[in-house]
Amino acid sequence: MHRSKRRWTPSAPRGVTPLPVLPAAPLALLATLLLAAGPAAAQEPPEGPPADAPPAAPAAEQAPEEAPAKDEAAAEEEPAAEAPPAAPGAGADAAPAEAPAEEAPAQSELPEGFEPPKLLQEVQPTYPPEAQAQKLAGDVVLLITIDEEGAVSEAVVVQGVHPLLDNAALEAGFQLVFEPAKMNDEPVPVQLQYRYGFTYVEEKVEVAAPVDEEKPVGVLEGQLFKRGSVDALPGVRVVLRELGLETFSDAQGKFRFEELPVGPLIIGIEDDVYGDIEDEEEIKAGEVVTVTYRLDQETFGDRIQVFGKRPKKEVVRRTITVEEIRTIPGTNGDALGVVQNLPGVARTPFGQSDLILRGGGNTQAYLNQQPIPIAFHFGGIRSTVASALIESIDVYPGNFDVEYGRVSGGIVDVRLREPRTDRVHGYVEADVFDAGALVEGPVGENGGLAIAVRRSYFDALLAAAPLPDTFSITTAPRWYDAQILYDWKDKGHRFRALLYGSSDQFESVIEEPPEQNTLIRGDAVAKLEWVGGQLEHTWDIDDRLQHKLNVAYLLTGIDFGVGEIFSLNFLFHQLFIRDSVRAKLTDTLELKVGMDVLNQWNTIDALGGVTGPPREGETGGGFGSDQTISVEIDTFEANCALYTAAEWKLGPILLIPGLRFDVFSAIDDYRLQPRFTARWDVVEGTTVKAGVGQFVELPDGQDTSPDIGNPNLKAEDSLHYSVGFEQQFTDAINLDVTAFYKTFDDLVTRAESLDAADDFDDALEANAGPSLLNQGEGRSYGIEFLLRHDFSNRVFGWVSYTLQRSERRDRPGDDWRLFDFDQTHNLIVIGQYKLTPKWTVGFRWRTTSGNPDTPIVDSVFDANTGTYVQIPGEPNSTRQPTFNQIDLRVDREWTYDTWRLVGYLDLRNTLNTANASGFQYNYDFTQRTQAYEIPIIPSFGLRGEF
Amino acid sequence: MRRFVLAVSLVVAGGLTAGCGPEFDPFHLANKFRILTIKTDPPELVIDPGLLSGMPSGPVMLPAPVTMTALHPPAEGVTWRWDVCLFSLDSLSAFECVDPDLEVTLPATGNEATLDLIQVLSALGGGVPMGGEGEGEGEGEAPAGCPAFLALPDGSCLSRLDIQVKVTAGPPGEEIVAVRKVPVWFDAAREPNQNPDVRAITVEGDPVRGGEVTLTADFDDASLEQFVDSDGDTRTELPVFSWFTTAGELQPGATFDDDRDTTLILPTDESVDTVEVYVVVRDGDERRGIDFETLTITLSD
Repeated sequence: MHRSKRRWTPSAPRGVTPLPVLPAAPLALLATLLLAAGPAAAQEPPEGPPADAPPAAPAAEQAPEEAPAKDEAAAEEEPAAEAPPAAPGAGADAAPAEAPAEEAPAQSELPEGFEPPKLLQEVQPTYPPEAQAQKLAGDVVLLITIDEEGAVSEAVVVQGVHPLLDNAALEAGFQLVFEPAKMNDEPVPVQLQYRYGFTYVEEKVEVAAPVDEEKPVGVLEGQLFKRGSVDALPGVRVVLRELGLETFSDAQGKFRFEELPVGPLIIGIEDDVYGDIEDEEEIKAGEVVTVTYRLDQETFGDRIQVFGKRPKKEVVRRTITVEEIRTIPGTNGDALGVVQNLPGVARTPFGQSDLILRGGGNTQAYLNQQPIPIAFHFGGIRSTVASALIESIDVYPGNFDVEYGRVSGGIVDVRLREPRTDRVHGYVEADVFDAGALVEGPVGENGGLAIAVRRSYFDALLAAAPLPDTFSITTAPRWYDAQILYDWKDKGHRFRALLYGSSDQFESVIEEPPEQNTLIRGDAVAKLEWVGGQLEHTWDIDDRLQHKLNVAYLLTGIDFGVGEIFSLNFLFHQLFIRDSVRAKLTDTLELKVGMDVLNQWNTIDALGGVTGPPREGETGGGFGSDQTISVEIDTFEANCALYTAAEWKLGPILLIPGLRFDVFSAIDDYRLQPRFTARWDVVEGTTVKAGVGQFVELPDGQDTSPDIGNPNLKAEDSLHYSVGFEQQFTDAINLDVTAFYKTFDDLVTRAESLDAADDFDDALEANAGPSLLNQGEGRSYGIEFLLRHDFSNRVFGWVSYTLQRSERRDRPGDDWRLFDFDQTHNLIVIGQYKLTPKWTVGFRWRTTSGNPDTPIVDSVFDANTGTYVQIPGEPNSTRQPTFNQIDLRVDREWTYDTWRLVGYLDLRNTLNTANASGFQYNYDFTQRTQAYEIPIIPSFGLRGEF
Repeated sequence: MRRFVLAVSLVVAGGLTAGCGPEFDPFHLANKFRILTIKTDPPELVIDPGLLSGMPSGPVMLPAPVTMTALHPPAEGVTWRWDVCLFSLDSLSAFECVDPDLEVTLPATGNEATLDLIQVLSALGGGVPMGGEGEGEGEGEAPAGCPAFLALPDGSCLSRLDIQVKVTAGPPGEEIVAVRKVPVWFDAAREPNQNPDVRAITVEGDPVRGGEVTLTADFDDASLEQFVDSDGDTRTELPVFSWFTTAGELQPGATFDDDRDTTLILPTDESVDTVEVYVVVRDGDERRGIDFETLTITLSD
């Protein structure tokens, strides 16, 4: 009979070698020391008695500096892991981990008068059983701060292996006790790197048979699953106390005991997270008893989610990982909806879905770095991409990378995750707005496929709602979206294919026209549909060179009309090509070169007033009161950009100079846009950052129409400046403060009105001249704060505050006016608390300055149409009252054997606060009343997943 | 495209909240002085462009004067002023005249006035470069056959000019402004639009205080014309009826096409002895022909 013995071996740091003292700490001397660890041999502790002692125990000790590292023999003398009996065939020996010796600065580099710290109490980490099942091994390097008392005040992982081992190392690291470092005999705080090496060793040893060979025996085998799914649970301890036997579940959650005595047997299952359970089974002679246990999570574990996992290279890139935000109140679990809770993002009224970053300019939504027409379905309730497929959302409120262009506002880049390939997963979900489903799983050896669909049923709800008799809906607001994602990777190649589409549609028949405007009658149609595909290939040629090619095609159709007085039909064919090479030239210099092409075929068929829809800063006009014009436009435009950027690391300083060159064929224009970003890690946890760059935005397509716009329009320019700092207070708490200043030049605004015409000739010329010109300018400036608590210790949340001002000047010589969405203060507080593993509660509080408003001071009766045309006062010269709203949410999870159900109740505007959204006027604008945003909206949803 | 997407969202939101507005006086309740419509006869003018350049394409037909009538509920102490402007701004600029020198006050009698284009052009005098004809040479020159008056900087020739009539009326200090545009086509071949014809308002039911009567517009369908729309399609005019009352409530306040009647819920207020009702008919969104009729209903108890 065999028994398997597993143990781990922490390889010890072997000395203290100080690095030069860093003068950055303001009040205390901070020295960075390196405890360089020598090679740690595999250690073979003697077998211990089969007792209740943990199967993994510290096996090696270290002594700093003056204490030579222990060799293998010495390690053998340490308390050793006992060897639990386990199932036969438990595996072969794993190679011992070896902590590589690191180059350390010479002792002579120590500053004069400096005495390094001495280790007084060493603490070895506890090797997690779960890690054992996964055969985890490797070196975890901690950066620990030793205070003047010799205690470890802070520890962070600078080189991790796996969260299980990293957390074990952190737990031990905090318990280390030192004699403090001294400078001129005065205790000073220092930082040093401390390494824990984890070695996985497994061997088979013979053990005495605990049973009488003459007695009949049986076999017990089983498998452990996470309740609510078919995910196996590895590394869970299974004990047979009566027999003094124990083992751990393997990677498939399986365990097995052989040659067990016949009769009843108590099986114990022990786990920190899933709790302890006991069960009784009857062992029968010569038979194999098979059991399956599904374990429910009882505790929280110690998971810490990190906000931005990729290293930051921009002044501000706020990355949202989807898992942490799907339960934020007021968003109905929609990932993109959370973007509006970040600093620098203006609050838009309920029902609008614009993303307005740092005081204006268009914001482009990307899906895997390729543009998509809209990020949200109508009403802004739901994003056009399934949240469950999203890996992260990068929000660049300004100073974005050279990879992005053609807009001057900001970038929201949605990145899809890889489909899961361990087995088939899926979910079905429904809430008051829509229902969706996803299924994903492995396809082939290295591929994964995910299919997600969603459809709203707003139309069904509206069918039951009381509507005016004069208004019949043929297609109520409804949306579809779907994504099919295939991902394959092997040997440095990664191939990704994505098909995606979205449809929003609303159609109604206005049986009787509203009496104040009889032009509004007949069919009212609003339809926006797009479908496309992406092919992406990423090739890691070697560890220094990567090539990435992404080709996308998108077909977008817009159909928008009211009766026969206004219609707009767009059809766009868009071909995007993005090709880039990233080369690591040296250890400190990385170069990125790429091109970004957008070819677009436009077909526009429009009928409407020559003035078109109101532009930013304008209010109304008179629907149907201007000369009607019919326009048909077929154009092709090629927009091509070349870009390059270097990432130059100079110690703690990262410099990223970049250049982007855009050519716009449609407007016969080009721009060279230099951009520069710098980040300086002043001390550990503190980063200072700054950026400046030029950005350019294309005029809207219809603005360059010779019929209703000006074909001679050029691109709009913008300069972005930002400076700030980031401070990591703890593993979970961090602060980001960024000040910004943004200018806009050559904004497209309406031409000088005919007011300025001196005489008939001027009037005639102005009347026939272009209606739009590159003559506006703008500026926005402010400061953003984001204080975050990443998910840990049951808590997650952030405080976001933006103080800003955004202004525009429509024509030279005009006074500056406020931008439509200028919001002086924008405070958002989000908090979540996990009451139990099954219950989560959360809140969101938003208070925002009201949007600017243009008062309507008079009206003119247009006898041609029988309508009143408003006469606005000074644009945006008043402001709506402050917006204030609290949202609450409760989430509950139920777990069943192979699936789980999640339900939530989301109360938007819980206090039913009356928030002003504007004014409603009577027919001739002589009376008005305050209009309010939505009252309390309860919504609930269910999601079943497997 | 972003602006249109936003506009689409707003229209959807607006559609869903239709009928959910606050309790203002309805549009159809003409319980204060206001202008309900301005009828011009004819609704548009057609001029041979050659007339302006001194080279008419055929026999000269001077445009006839346009008579204009403003419909309004009864009011006392109202003053009226009628102005015409050759070049006016769009709705975003409140239809202002581009140049006060291009504005001429029309002869009028209360709510009626006459627009004589020849007189207007004459009154403007040298301000309007009437004479001459382009030779079609060089950028910005009037194309051949196009009078300088109609030459556009891009080399094309203006085919239509909307002359704007502005009415300023009301009790002193409470004046309101209404505008009416009279299209002038510089196309001798164009068949000018004619106003639709509503002959009367008929009443069905006893006009008992607090009761209901049905009002029907006696409309002459033969007045509906065929025309070529802005898309180049030939269509028949579509009549749209707007109803007004000085008291009571109309359900509905607007109808169109074959739906030519409405229900008037008569007031219960004993101080009201008569109710004035009005119907204004338009011949379509692109046509701008207008007619109206009025009726006085005496209430019985």
